[in-house]
This record gives sequence, structure tokens and C-alpha cells, in this order.
Amino acid sequence: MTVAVLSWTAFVVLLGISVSAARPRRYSAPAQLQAARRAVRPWRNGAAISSEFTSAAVCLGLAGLSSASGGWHPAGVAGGFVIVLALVVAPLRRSRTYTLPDFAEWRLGSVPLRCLTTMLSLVIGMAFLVAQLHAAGVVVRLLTGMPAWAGWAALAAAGVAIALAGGTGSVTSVQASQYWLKLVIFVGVGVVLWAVWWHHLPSGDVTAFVAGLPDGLWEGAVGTSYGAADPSAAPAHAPAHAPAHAPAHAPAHAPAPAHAHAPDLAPAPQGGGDGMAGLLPGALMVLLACALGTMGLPHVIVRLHVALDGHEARRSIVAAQAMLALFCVVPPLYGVLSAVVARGGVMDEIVLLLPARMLPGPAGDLLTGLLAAGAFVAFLATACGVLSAVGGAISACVSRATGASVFRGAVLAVALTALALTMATDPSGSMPLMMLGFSLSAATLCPLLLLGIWWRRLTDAGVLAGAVAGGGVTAALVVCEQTGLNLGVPTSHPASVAVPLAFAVMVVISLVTPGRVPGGVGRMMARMHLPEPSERAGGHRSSPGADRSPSGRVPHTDDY
Amino acid sequence: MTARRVPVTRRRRVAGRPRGAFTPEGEAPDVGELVSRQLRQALATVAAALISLAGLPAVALWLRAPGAWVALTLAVQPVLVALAVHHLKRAERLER
Repeated sequence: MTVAVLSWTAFVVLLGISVSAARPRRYSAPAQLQAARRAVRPWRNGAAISSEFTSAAVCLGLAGLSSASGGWHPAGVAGGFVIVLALVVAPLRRSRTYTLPDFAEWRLGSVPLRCLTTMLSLVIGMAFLVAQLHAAGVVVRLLTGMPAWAGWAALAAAGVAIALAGGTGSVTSVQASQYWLKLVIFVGVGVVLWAVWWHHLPSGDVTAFVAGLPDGLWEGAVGTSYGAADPSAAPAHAPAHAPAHAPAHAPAHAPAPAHAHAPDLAPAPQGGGDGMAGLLPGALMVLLACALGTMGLPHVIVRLHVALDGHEARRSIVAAQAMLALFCVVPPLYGVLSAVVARGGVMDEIVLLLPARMLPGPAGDLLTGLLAAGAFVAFLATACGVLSAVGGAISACVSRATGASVFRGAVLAVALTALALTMATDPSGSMPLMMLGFSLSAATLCPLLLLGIWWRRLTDAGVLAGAVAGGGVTAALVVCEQTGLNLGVPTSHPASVAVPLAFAVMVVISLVTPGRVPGGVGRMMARMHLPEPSERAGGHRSSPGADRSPSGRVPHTDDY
Repeated sequence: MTARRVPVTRRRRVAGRPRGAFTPEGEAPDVGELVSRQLRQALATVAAALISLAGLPAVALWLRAPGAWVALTLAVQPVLVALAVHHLKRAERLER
């Protein structure tokens, strides 16, 4: 009960801090509501972007050690940021379209395409939202004993409130401050726990401790991180070997002694499963889906447009990537310690219960409360980012009228749908759901963006066919997996088939329909690829608002 | 009259387009060239990123050390950040 009270107090305090950073302002039009009035500087924007990725799974370290695809996720996303930086950021910012549906309509002049892209953004955003809600439910159930729906409801309400308070502008500042809050909390609590562990461990015991490292820990981690379709394929039969020369220094180097096992680790002759080499394609596919899927995530694209211009947008992405790299220390920090301290049991639950187990009494309660509040803030970051981005996309598609009520209605509808989906699904599906979001994004929005930005001969028919093929194959493979029909790597990692197929279909159909290449493609290419007039040279930035949106709708953000 | 205007445009094209001189309504003469240079640069960066990503599981497999992938996913982060910073510098130099 103390834990419950403490964690809720901490959460309310943190929420207060981050909302007070939001500085909600009054807006008259949804366009102004969605987009920040003032340009956000790269470091602040970068913090907001990386805040999105330090969400649920990554935060609690459940990604690192317990889930099949989580292990490679941070590396894949970091690679994805490099690809976004190289191929997408500056042209997309310079196209001056606000969302992916806007971009599709502007570039290819097709309204059906706009609706298809909106649907895809909705599905991808929904996968992320449901994962956040499930994680919040688990945290609340574990720590307070209250039913999981209390966590869903609290998260949904807070996310909607922040998204409605001020649109992307306030969401950006909330997320930027949340990034630093999370970093301080997670690293701080982690360091305290490691210090406690080190303090309680008599120095002579280190060798014995290392010898007693859980048998299945690293082997299991390696097995699952290769994306084994069958979790039992992990070699659980490797006996514990006392390493001859365990390093007796900092406990933070705990992974190092694992090298001592190396000579003894046979190449894993699993019975029913394939060998380690057979698991390689799975790992590669996880990396590929994350790397290509990052560019299609609706809440990342939105962030580009609060940057001042193409240069600043590029810098934002680099800043985001650097901060994300910093945060990647967190999962191993907890994952290793919880595997060491609390052997056996469900990993993601143990991470949260770790402080109470190591430090019985008020100190443990306090740390647990902080950890829970930090986790909740993380879920909130992703939830309100996705809500605001998807809500904006839908309101722009559903109604061309200008009115903040449409945006508000869309945000509410998205939140309610996500709640309903959360009720219908199982918490264990969070990570697969997020991976599905990445795969779908890689198979549909990624080819649209890459070809749309760099290839003049792309046509709307090509994009339509390619996106339908990529999305359809992904959906079919997911259904196959759910019904138990196993086709090997394709069923567990739909991206392996869907991404090449989507690219191929898009290119072929575009070449077949040369008459549908939109007019003025040269002007579009010039707008996307030529640097904007310099802010410093040209004084006040004064781009005409009307050229932002193709159909004469309200311009989004040009009057900074 | 028209004959007098042509040399002006041509002289500017030869001199190179100064930063900020592009007009949004017309396609500047060197867009195609700029795009292909940008694309070459971007593809080089993407290739480097993909190679380092694909190398991860391969190296983990080759090391056969349990837990190596934890260290590898951490070790690849600075590499990718360095790659991003390098690309940022090159891209900005190209557009200057």
C-alpha cells in the first residue's frame, strides 16, 4: 500500500512538472493547434523524438532480455535514424507537408492515396498505443493491486488531456522534459541498486557469484535475441561452468565474465529448433524492419515540422539519435541486475519489484515508486505523441473544415478505440504488436517515402498497388502466424517478404503507368531538394503559406 | 530584350547558385545534378549503416560468447551516431 501511495504521488508530481513545461496556449485553428507556433530548436526537438522511443518496452528493460525481438530493437532503431537522416529528413521538411497523408497527396495528387496513408498511420499508431496501455496496466496491477483497466484509463485520460491542451507544440515540450526526467530516474535508480548490490556483496564473493550466474541467462538471452520462432530452442541445457579467471572489478562489467563460458558453449545442438546460424535470418529481419520502419512512424514525421527548416530538422534527428544511444544503457543496467538478483520468474515483473526485493523498507518503496512513475511518464510520452499525430492525420482526412473540434473529436475517438482494442488483446502481445507496427510501416510507408522523394517517375497507381501488396502480405502472414500455420522466417518476420515485394510492385506499376506521373514533378523535386533561403541571410523567414498545402487548405506552420 | 536577359541567367548558372538564391516557382537549372549528388551521398551513408547493422548478428554468431549481443548493441550505438554526424556535415557542406 505504501508503494501504491508513493508511486502515485511521484507520478502526480512528475506529471505536474511536465505539464507545467507544456505552457498550453489558446489556438483558434486546428492547423495552429497541431503544429507548434514557434520553431523548436534541434536539441529540444531531438529530446522529444527520442522520448518516443524510450517507451514501455525499452524503459523497463523487458525488451533487452525477455522478449524475442526486443534484443535487437535499439540497434535497429538507431540504424533507422541514420537512414531517416540520410534519405528522408531534409526533403520531407522542405516539402512543407505536415503529415504523411499530406505528403502523399501533395506528391502524387491523389485523394484515395491520402485516405490509404491515413488508414496505415492509424493502424501503426494504434499498435503503439495498445502496447503502451497494456504496459501501464501491468505496472498498475503489479504495484497497487488495482485492476489493469485503472492503468489504461489513467494513461488514456492523461494522454488525451495533454494532446488536447496544445497540440504538437506542447507535446514537444512535454516530451523533451520527460526525456531528461526519465533518464535521471532510470539511471539514478539503477546506479543506486547496483551500489547496494555491490555494497552487500563481500568482495571475496565475486568469483563465487560469477560462477553462480544463472545458467540459462546468457544462453537464453542469445537464443531469444536471435528471434527464435520457438522459445524452447534456446539452449537451456548448458550447465554452469565455474570460470577460471573471473574479473573481480566493477560489477558493471558483469557481462564480461560470460566470455569464460565461450569455449564450453557448443554450437547449440537443439533438438527441434534450428541452430544459431539458422536463427540469423530472424535477427537480420528484426533489424531490417526496425531500420526501415522508423521513418514511417507517424509521431516521428510530425516532429520534423516543428523544426525551423531542413538543416534544423537534420540536426534534430542527429540529436535524437545521440540521446537515444545514451538511453540504451538503461535496459542492460536493469536486465543484468534483475537476472542476477532474482533468478527465475517473469523478467518484466521482476524489474519493477527489484528495489523492494533488494531494499526492504521505505527506501525500497521510494525507489519502486520512482521507477513506476518514470515508467508511467514513458508510456505517457509515447501515448500523447501518437494520439496527437494520428488525431491530426484523421481530422485532416475526415473533414476539410477548419475547427479545433474535429481534431479534438479525432483524438478522443482514437483513444477510445485504443482502449477497446486493449480490452480485446492480451498484455503479452505488446512487443509483437510494436514489431508489427514497424513491419507494416517498413512495407508500406517506407517505399512511398523513399521513392516519392528520390524517384521522379513514381505514380499514384504504383504507390496504391505497392502499399496494398505490402500491407496485404503483412496482414496475411500475421493471420498465418495466429492460426498456427508456420512458414518459417516469413511468418515470424513478415518484413522479409513484404518489404521487397512492396518496393518491386511500386516500381513496376509506376513504370507501367507513365501517363499518371503528376504534372509539375520537377517543381516538387526542386522544392524538396534545394536548400531553403537562409534564415540568416534572408532575415525574417517569409515563405508563402499557400504553397504548403496542395488543395488550398489552411497552411500549417509557416508564420513562426 | 530577351537577348539581353539570357547572359545574365547564364552567368549566374556558371558562377554557381549562391545559398538562398533559389526561387520557389521555377525549377532551378541544377536540381538534377544536386539531387544525384545528394542521393549518392545518402546511399553511401545508408550502405554503411546497413552493413554495420547486418554485421551485428554475424559478429555475435562468430564470437559465440553468451551475452556478446548485449555488448554489441551498446557498442554499435556510438558507431551509428558518428556516422550520422559525419553525414550531417557532408550534407551541409554540399548545400552550402
